[in-house]
Order: sequence, then structure tokens, then C-alpha cells
Amino acid sequence: MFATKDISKSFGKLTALSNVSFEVEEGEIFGIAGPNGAGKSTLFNVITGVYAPTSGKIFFRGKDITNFKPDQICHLGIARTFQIPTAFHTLTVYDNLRVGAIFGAKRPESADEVLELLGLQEVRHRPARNLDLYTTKLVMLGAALATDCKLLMLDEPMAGLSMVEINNFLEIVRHINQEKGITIIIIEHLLDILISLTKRMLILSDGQVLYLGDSAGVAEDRRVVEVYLGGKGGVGHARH
Amino acid sequence: MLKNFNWKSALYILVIAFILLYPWLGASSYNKHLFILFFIWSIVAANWNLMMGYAGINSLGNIGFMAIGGYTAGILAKSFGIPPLLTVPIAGLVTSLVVTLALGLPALRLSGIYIALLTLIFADTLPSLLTQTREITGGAMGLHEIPPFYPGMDKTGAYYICFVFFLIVLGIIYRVIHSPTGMAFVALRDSENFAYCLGVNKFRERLKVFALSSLLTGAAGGMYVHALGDISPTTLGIEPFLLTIAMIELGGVGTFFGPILGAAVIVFGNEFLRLAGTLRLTLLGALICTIILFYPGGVIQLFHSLEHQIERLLKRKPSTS
Repeated sequence: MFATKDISKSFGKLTALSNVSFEVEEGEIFGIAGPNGAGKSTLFNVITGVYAPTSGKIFFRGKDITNFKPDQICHLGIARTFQIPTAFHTLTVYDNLRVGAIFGAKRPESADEVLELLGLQEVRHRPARNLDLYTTKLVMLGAALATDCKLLMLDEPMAGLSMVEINNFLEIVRHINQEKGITIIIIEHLLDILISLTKRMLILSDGQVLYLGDSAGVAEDRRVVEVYLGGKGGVGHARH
Repeated sequence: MLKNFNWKSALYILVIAFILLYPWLGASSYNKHLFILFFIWSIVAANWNLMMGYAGINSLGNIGFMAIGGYTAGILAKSFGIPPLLTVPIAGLVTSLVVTLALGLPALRLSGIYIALLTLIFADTLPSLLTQTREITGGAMGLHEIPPFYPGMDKTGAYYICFVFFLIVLGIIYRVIHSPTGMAFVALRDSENFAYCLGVNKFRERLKVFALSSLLTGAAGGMYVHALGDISPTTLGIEPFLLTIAMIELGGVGTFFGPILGAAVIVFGNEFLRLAGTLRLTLLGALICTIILFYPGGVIQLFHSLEHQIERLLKRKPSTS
């Protein structure tokens, strides 16, 4: 359904991504992990057209979408959230969703559907600046969903949430995937969450593919353990 | 009966009724003149606010839009004898075309402060352009005796025509703000990349801001010259520029009524303070600083806090009865 082929991205002399290739199947939840600065968010930005790749190609449903602009990519059916909780803070919750519904889906009623799906009716008239972190993240997710996306890309959606909130959020992600049939790519720091959520995952390190394959096999992979779980040179993010 | 009474709509009706009746209540020619200035500068400020407050495009060139519109209408009416009913819309269209193509397209390749610089440069080139084209524009002297809206027009006629124009333009701005386009403006201002990734074509929406804002500001320039009879490069000077910015800041950036309130305070306050002679601008500056100090959201914030207090009072009544 979705694939990248040898994606590289440099900022001047800094190489943020080099030759990253992976494929995502229709209907799956695909995980992306890696230490800080590994290039995960840059990969998202390249895929969604925020940055143009230095080289490489991106395909969505058989179509070459390399160098498409973010709004065009959205109209094809790819939506995303951001690592930094982002919402239109002066707009109400409902209007946040309406931006996605009107400009992404061109179907205003999708805002009402998402409002109900995420249980945001009670805060619908509240300005987004007056929301707690969890609700802000739901609004960001909701706006993305309101675009009627086929592929949803979540950039560390659970960072900063409590265990209860993480579990709620995971339930929503599974629900969106199973009931709505939306394919999901999710970036997450915590490996055990990713292992339980996804079947396959990609681990990036210094902009390169460190691991690509079954999520179940991650914990046994020697290089992953070394780089990611705090062996030599590990930075100890994933302490559990 | 009393339950449905909305004191806010009553206030709007009162204000509009007062403006409508004012010329019959013995308004002096001078006071009518002030109201005409208020109508026109409100429009300029409201459109500037649409760009800066709502869409987050830090344009500093909007006085230039007004001058382009004013000169276009003035030249068309004076040199070509075209009736004002046509010169005003043509002035708007010409301004919109020039601004969108010559300023909007390049400006949208920039961001933040660089847009501010480019738009400022745009407005700043106009005075020297005007002095270089003396045959048509009158050079530093400007254009004088520009035909009024209709032959033999008095201040009352100009007053009502400008008031109608004021209502129409504010109506348009209100509709735009509450339309999907207005929502896109605000979304791009609040979080550009998020809006972009949700399918908002940022280039097209922002170009719309330039086109619309310059259309209406250019038309306001046209109204200005037909109502007042002249325009000169001093319109592009530092004082009108700063005063209009002050209207927006003082009234409340990014609010619908803010620039209108700001224009009222500045236009009437500025004239009132003429009594103070050379200290006029100093006192005006002090007034602005004082209001911003206590109400950083502008005069509109003062109104909102008054509104809350009135509503509290209104709420208390039914419980005692």
C-alpha cells in the first residue's frame, strides 16, 4: 500500500536519513522506533511533503508521490499528527476537526463523525488552548481522522501521557485500525508498547535502517539491543 | 420578553441609529468630516487586521494599497472623467491585481519578518514613484479637486455614502471570517504545518488574503479621494502608517470589532487632542501605552470585561424576583 525506496535527506552537511526503504501493507499497524535524533520525525516530514527528500522515492497505492506538497498528500489519503502537541489553539475543538473535514476530506460531516468517535462532544465548543495534553492529542488525532485518511501517521502520540491515558489511546488506535480499516504508521519510543501493538517495525539509528521485520524478533536482535536498549553507546531512553 | 432582550444587539442598533441620525442632530460639517475619516480608516484597519490578525501575514504595506486605490480612482475621475460609481470598484480591482501579483506572489515565498520587510519596501517605493510621474499623479503636490461622488455633493452626502460603504465592507469581512476561508486563515496562523498537512492549500489561501484585503483597501482609497477631494504622497508618510497600526493594536488584534474601536479612538482622539498642539502625538502615544498596559488585548478586552460584569448583573436579577 505504501513504500519508500532509498529515501535520503540531508540538511547541508548533516545527513538525517540515508537510504531508508520500507513497505507497509494495507490494514496493518506498522511501528517505527529509534533513539532521539535517529531521523524518525524527519522521515515523517519527508513522507508528508513538509521536506522534499534529497533522493529516493515514495509510493502510495502504486502512485509516485515524491515531491508532492503536504496538502496534495493529504488529499490522496495520508494524514499525520505531530510529535509536539499541535492544535489550532484559538479555534474550538469542533473547528479544529472541521479544518480537516472541509479542507482534507471536503466532506464537512466527517467532523461530526470524528467528534462522536473520539467522544469529544462535551468539549466541542471549547477553544483548543484550554485543553489538557491528552485532549489536545485527541483533537490533533481527530483533525487528522476527519480528513478521511486511508493511512494515518502518528508521531510519538503517547509521549507525556499517563499509563491510563496510554491505554485509552492504544484502544483508540486499535479501534481506528480494525473498525475503520485505516492503515497506521506509528512512531513510539517505548519498545514494549510497539511490540504489543504492531506486527512489523522499523528501527532507525543515525538515519539508517537498523532493523526491519517482525516486531516479535526485535528484543533478540543483537544490534538493536546494543544501540537501543543501552549497550555500548546506548543512551538509555528505553528504560522500563 | 425581558429574557430575550439582548443588550448587545440593542447597543449595535443604538450605535447604527445614532450614526444614521447624526447629521440631523445638528452635526457640524467638521464632525461629519471626522466620521467620514472614521469610516474609511476603519475599513483600512479592518482589512489590515484581516491580514495581520487573522491570517498572521505581517504586512506593513497596507497604506500602500490604499494609496494605489486612491490614486487610481483619482486619476480615472480627474483625467478620464470616469464616474465615481465605476472608479471605486476599478480602484479596488487594480489594487488587488497589482498587490497580488507584484507583492503577494513574492511575499508568500518568504515568512515572518521578511514578509514585513518586503511589504514595507513595497509601500516605501510608492512616494518616489509618485514624484517621478508628476504629469499624471501631481508629484509631491498630489491630486486636488478630485470630483466628488456626485456633482454638488455636500458633507452629509459623503457621510452617508461612506457609511454605506463602511457597512458593506464590514459585512464582507464578517462573512469571510466566518467562512471556511476565514477558518483556513486562522488555522494557517495558529499552526501552519498542521493546516498544510490537513489539506489546506497554504499558498492559495494566503494569496486570497492578499487579493481580498488589497481589493477592499484599494476601494477604500477610492472612497477617500471622492469623499475628501485630494490625495498626496503624505498619505504614505509615517504618521498615517503608525496611526493605522495603532488602531489595530489598540482596538484588539485578530478580533472583528477591535480595529473599528481602535479607529474610533484614534480618529476622534487625534482630533480632540489637536487642542494640545504639538503634544498631540505624545498624548496619543501615552493613551495607547496606558490601554495596552492594562488591557493587552486592546479596547475590545476592556469591552469584554465590561460585558461580563453586565451579564453578571443581569443574571443576578431573576434569582431575586
